Amino acid sequence: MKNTTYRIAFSALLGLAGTSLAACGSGSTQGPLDEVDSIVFIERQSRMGGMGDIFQYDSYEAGAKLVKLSPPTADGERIVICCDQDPEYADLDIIDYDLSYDAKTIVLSGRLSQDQKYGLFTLDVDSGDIEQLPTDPDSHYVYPTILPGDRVLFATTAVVEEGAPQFRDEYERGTTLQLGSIAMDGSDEKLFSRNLSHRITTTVLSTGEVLVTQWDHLNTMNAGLLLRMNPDGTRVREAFGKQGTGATNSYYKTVEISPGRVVAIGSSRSRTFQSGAILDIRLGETYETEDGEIWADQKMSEANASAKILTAQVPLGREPSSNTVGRYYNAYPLDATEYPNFLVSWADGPVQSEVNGAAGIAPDFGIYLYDSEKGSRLPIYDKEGTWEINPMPLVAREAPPTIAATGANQFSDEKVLLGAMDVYDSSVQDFDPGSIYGVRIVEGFSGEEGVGMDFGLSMAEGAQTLGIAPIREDGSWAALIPANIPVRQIAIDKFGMGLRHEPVWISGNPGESMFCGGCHESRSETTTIQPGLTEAVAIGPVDLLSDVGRFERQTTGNFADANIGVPWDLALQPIFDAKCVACHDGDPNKPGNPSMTITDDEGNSQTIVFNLSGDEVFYGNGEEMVSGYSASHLSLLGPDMEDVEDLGLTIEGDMPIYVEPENAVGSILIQKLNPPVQYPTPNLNERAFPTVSHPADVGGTPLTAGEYRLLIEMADNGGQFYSRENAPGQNP
Amino acid sequence: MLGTKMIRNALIAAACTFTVLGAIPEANAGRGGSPGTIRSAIRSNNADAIVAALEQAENIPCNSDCMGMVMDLLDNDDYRVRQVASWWFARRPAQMKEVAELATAWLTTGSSTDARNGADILGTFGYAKHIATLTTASQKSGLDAPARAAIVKALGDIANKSANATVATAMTDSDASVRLSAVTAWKNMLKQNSAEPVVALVSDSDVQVRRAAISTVGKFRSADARVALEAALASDADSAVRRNAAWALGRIGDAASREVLRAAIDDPSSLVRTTAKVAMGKLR
Repeated sequence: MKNTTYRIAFSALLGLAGTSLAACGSGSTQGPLDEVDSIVFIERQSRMGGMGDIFQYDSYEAGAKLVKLSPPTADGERIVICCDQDPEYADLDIIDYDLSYDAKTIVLSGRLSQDQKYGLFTLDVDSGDIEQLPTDPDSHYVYPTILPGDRVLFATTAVVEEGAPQFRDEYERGTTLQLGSIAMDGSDEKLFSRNLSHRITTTVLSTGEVLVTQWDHLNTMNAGLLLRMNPDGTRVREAFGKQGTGATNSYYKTVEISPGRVVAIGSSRSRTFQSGAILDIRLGETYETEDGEIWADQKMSEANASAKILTAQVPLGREPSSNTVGRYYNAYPLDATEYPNFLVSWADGPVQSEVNGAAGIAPDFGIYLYDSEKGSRLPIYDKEGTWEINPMPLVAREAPPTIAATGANQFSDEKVLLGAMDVYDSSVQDFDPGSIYGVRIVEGFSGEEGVGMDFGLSMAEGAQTLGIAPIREDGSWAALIPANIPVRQIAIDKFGMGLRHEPVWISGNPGESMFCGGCHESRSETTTIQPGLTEAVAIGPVDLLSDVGRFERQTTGNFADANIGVPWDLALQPIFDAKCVACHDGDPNKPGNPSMTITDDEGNSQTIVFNLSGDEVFYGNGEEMVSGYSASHLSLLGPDMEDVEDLGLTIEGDMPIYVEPENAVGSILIQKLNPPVQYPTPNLNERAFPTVSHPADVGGTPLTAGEYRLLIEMADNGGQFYSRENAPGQNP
Repeated sequence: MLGTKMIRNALIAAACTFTVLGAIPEANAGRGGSPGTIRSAIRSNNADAIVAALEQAENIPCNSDCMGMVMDLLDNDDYRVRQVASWWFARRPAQMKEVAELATAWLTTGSSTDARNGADILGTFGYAKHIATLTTASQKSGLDAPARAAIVKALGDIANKSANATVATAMTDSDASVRLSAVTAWKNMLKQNSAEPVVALVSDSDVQVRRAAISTVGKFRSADARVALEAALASDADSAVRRNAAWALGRIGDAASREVLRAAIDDPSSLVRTTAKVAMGKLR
């Protein structure tokens, strides 16, 4: 079978792949670019800052141009194709662009001035005519990728939920980018459902799907990984980065080399000026075609994916690089052999913000031809003081197929149908038959809803429980949830404790059906998804707040009766005050109050005594090295022990960490309290652990089933102090 | 009931994002920081490096020397540095309280620069309890425009509608940067459902204020602004103002805007034409 996607583009190139590059620059002898008349790239002002991490998008310096180099050699003619022809664009900055499949139109993301946002513009390559597309002037629109069918995929800060603020990133600082598409004539803009952190577009695969980079952040998960999705934002699936396939922390700026095979930049998430090593990523099983090309489009799944590092000496982390090694801003493949040639943008030196910052010298990216087999670079164009980035041949390509829009589920055109055919079908965990009561669906949100900069002492984001979908006799479950919101799924037992936590956020578009085969069923086998055959769908999906608006998804009554969020001071502190604080009051002389002393290498120390009161954290003894939202929160969540270990601090004392975020069943607090059966109806006579429940073991007042439920949800959801119900920005 | 949609669903492959938490590469985010890396980044004098260093040290135990290093960043000349330092303290509730007291003092008795920095701190913290302090500071005489703009921005960052009156008052400030900050703050308020005080700024003397005001009334689909928007589209000298007006009129969708939009399809600016054409298609 022949590749179709890049056949036209590569037909001019493949015959010369692998030949000597020595003549590149003279324009006279054979090379990978010999039959390419022109290349296009961005010429952008160099900069020292504003590039923070790979998802940052709003850096602005006036004076960017889109340049054609013809022929693509060091002595080629530099022709500005945008935007000297229009004085309105004199102060333009350009972050990215894409070329249409017929090579007649360019869509670029540009910013006209500091007070405006990045918008989308079409450029007629022949006439030079420019038109701005009608996007929200208050939102950034970046990283355009042209889709088959005359549409443009983009990343944007615009929000699909009318009236809702955009999510902030993992640090609660940057406004996240989400995805959407618009017709090339400016009509029919559609915004897709959101991730809890950034998503940025990358490339269209020969299948017609798109590959995107998503900042996956859920408690300890924290990386920029690759996803596949349909061009309408549906059918999101993992493509590369987990399941042991990863080579570094983040993968971005992908371009398809051949079916199922992409080139990507790989790096630490920050400090590298959004540049890194060149990776050859195979999304499925690899094979060689009769033309000697390497394809990887068979059995594409994250489990079968692999990566090869094509720049051996370039650091994969955030450390400074070396002279002559440098870092790569992006790479465009020129053939599909085992070791392809690439058009690259590369800068020499450390290319690391701390070192470059100290020296006061910005990296200098220029255009090179890179032979990945020899590891050699030949310069094509590098102008001092500007970055030359995003090179690609000005050549027509064959468009991938258009994928039809996904139809709505059978229950709603607006709500998302979420479920699985058999939750016991799992490649990651052996569940005892009947051990799973249901799947708890938890909505995620970030600090923009009035929470401020942090939810608590753990890394967890905001969490509101939408509800529980019970497992039916055949192992299926189904729920209707609101569209466009990130949710996570926790398979729970009859005690309400999580048996399996999905470490990613997912979200569905209006009417989308998101049905899985199981709980991470085998990815190397074919599973036919037929939700209509499941008992859960036959009975009808449970409704989990699918009609309730974002700001109304919070508890209105007694938390112990029914809760959505678990605000620490409102839902949990009353339990501690009524049933715990009489003993656990921070008095080190009482037997139930262990302590912990942290000492640094300078001899400074701080002692924390177990205290379940709602008091402010008291610093009567030693340095104020760690902090907390209340005495009870610090006593149960403790300092971040990974940081303590990394810093080489000394811990002395007998106070453990009582709550392990996202692990109620493994948390000492929950084990000590020994929860009763919650589902389908509470039964205080049957307990999760073969121990005596606390505080009944010391004559204390037993907790109610509802109180147990709140404590378990707090632990399983991440140990947050804040929820919507006690957001300090909305509740003075 | 099994119907055609069932069959169609059967053909739709799963949107499965169930996954394995396997051998994840080093995250590098929120981890790996230390007092040493903070010190090194500060020495580099590069805002990106300082931001990254503090992000990677977001939860580390820090003694008083370490705290002092970050404290010194709260009055840095670069907003990004002040903001990340404030953010870092916002993750340390006990120290945040002390920093909030410092910010309050700066806003109450300090210079204009102090007030600007104090506002940035309280805005980053995002606590509604600080609205009163900021409101009082906004009424102080003698503060320069950057300080006044920062106070209004902070109220927008907290995003609590109880500050609407203060922000609306700032829209009448003599300095354009303050009015611009007020428009942005108004738009950012959580659960904001009207742009009523912004409508008057559609014809502001300052071009940046006009651009922002027009996109804001468009966001809220303020029908009251239609006539002013049509005037802006027809005759404003700034093409970005005209573009924003066309976009806003499309959002409002009143058929009465048809003629002015039709004329704008031939606007001399490439910023305006397509926006006007698409807006035409959205009219009722």
